[in-house]
Amino acid sequence: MDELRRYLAIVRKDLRVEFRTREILYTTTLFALLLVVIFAFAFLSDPAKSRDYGPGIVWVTVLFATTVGQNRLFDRERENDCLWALLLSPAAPSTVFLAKATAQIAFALLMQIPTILLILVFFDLRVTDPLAFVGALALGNVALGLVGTLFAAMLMNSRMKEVLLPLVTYPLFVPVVIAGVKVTAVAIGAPIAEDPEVWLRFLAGFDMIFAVVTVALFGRMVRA
Amino acid sequence: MDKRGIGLSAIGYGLTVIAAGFLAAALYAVFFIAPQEAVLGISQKIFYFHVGSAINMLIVFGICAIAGLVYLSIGNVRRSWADVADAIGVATAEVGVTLGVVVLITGPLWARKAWGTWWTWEPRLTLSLMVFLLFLAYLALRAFAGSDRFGRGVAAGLSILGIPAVYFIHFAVDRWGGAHPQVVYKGGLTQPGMRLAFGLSVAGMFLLSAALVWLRLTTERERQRLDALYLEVDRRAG
Amino acid sequence: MNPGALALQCESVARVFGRRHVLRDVSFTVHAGEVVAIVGRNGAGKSTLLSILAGRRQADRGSVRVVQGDRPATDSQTRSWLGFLPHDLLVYLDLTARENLEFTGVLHGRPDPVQRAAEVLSAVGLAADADRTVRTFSRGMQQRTALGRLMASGARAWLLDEPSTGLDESGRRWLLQLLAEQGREGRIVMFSTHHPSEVEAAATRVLVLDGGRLVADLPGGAEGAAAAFSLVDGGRS
Repeated sequence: MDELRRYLAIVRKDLRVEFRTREILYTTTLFALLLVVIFAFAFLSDPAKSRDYGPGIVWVTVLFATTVGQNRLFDRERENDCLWALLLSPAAPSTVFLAKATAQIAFALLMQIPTILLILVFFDLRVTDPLAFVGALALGNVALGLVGTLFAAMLMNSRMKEVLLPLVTYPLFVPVVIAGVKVTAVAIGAPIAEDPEVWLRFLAGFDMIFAVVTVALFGRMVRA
Repeated sequence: MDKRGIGLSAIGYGLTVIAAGFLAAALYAVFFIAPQEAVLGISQKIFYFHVGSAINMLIVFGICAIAGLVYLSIGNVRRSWADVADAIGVATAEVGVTLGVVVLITGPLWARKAWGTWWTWEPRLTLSLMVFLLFLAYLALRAFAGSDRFGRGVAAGLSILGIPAVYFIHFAVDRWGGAHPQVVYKGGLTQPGMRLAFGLSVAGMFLLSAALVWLRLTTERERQRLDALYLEVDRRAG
Repeated sequence: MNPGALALQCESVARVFGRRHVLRDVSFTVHAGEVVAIVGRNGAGKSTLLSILAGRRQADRGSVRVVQGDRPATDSQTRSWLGFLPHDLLVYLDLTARENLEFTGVLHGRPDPVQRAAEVLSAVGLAADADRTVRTFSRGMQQRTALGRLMASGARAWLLDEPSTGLDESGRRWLLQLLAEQGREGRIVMFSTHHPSEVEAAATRVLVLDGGRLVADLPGGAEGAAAAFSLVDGGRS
């Protein structure tokens, strides 16, 4: 019960700071929208083919903008060494980790709503299977959030964090991107023979296993 | 260097000599015993070393992850074990990267001859590329993540995450790549000569990897002991 | 001695940076009710020692233990009993002083965090500014917020790194009174300082660090302070 209260307090703290400063949502959303515009100029030569690269654009945008936000969320904890105010409190390290990951995922999803709507409009994509479309994004974001939170926390004090974070996390994200692109392609009616359910289950499995491992690692890594 | 140090490096040099013997035998078997593959011709022969490196890269990576597990689970209780685990971690990671370079050079050479393109997203080759990139990230973390010790801990965590990651990457690229022709070793190495050459190559590359890991490990241990000596001097002087 | 009393045991603690020691074999035990000043020149290891005691950093050798009576505390007990005020104040700049203290109360599982935060805010003299974000505060006010954090956390052992930083003269007097009072209430207090007057005013015991080594363990008061600072000043001349 105490741990639940602590978890909620940390999440609420992050939301409160964000709605006061709006710095993460404002900057990452704007960044994501600009990425979409750039992609439009880079790829939109033949609108008939937009279903081919649409899924890729969705996931590359999600990946890039999320990584930027992940570094930002821990800038807040770096200032005044605040992450250690959490870690030195009686809260279990796993509570701290899950709360930060929750805030991380919430901000990523909020940023992605306008971004993805814009992609659908700009590239004239029609979602034929909304459940799979949303499901892949939800499950994918959990995966990005867990791994990203773990390493963003570890690299918080590193001078090289802006480049180290993607360096470390992107190899781990490759299967998430592959699965996400497949499901998204099916969900916008691209003519490929794929069973989205297999990939959704794959993403759910990834989330579960990485949740267990990242939670177990966080407390040990941060004190190493 | 003291007696123990000399003994330890002697094991490394011994391993190197044995590895050289195996690799020479492997080369002989590859070119003079194994028959030429019917479809691919002589270019298929690079396969023996390509696969030999890839298999050993995965083995070395597994050891690196186990060392990471030991480092993070008992590192704060037994510092001496942590030092050994950390030395194994850096040695295996560096040798793994070296093997990865071999895999990623021989792969395209073969692909060029077999399919006419330098790069093919063949699932196993793709998996090798991803593992190679993970190793590079591991070394980058050790070098740049912060203080020496903190970087080591973070890198150890990455190597542990590598275990489930390899499983998921394997599944994903396998289903994703899909369409490429399955290469000879699925159909099997039909001829006994091929099997001999393959066995010798894998064993030779394994011994070579073991020798390199061992030598790198002893160097790292020496470095740790040197640090400890400096600290001891500093402790007595201060 | 009271069997339930808290003690902080530091046993041959060493901390290494590269090939040099920041702390060498530091051992001592502090009991409930003691107010301990840690003095030494810049780089003597005061901050490192406090951060190891607080659990912020790990010792390379030796151990730090929190015991209650004879029983060692569990990890989560240790974290809830120790309160730390380092140079990086551990307070959120984008939260108000009140929010910081209420958040601390919840994290530390205090019974009535809202009520307690209000009490603490007036105790540290921030009642009028309680609803401004800490970023808009002066350093002294931020320091008061951080002190309030310790009070709101209900910690039984306070570890403070140069706590008078940024405080004006009356603030400093108030702080020293506060620390002495915590000792009388049975808490452990350890603070680092460069000012003999602070040792004199609050400390019941002085530890002198030089080059990472504990070179003296003296009683507090005017005499102890004088002896300690003659060691600090004469240490390497």
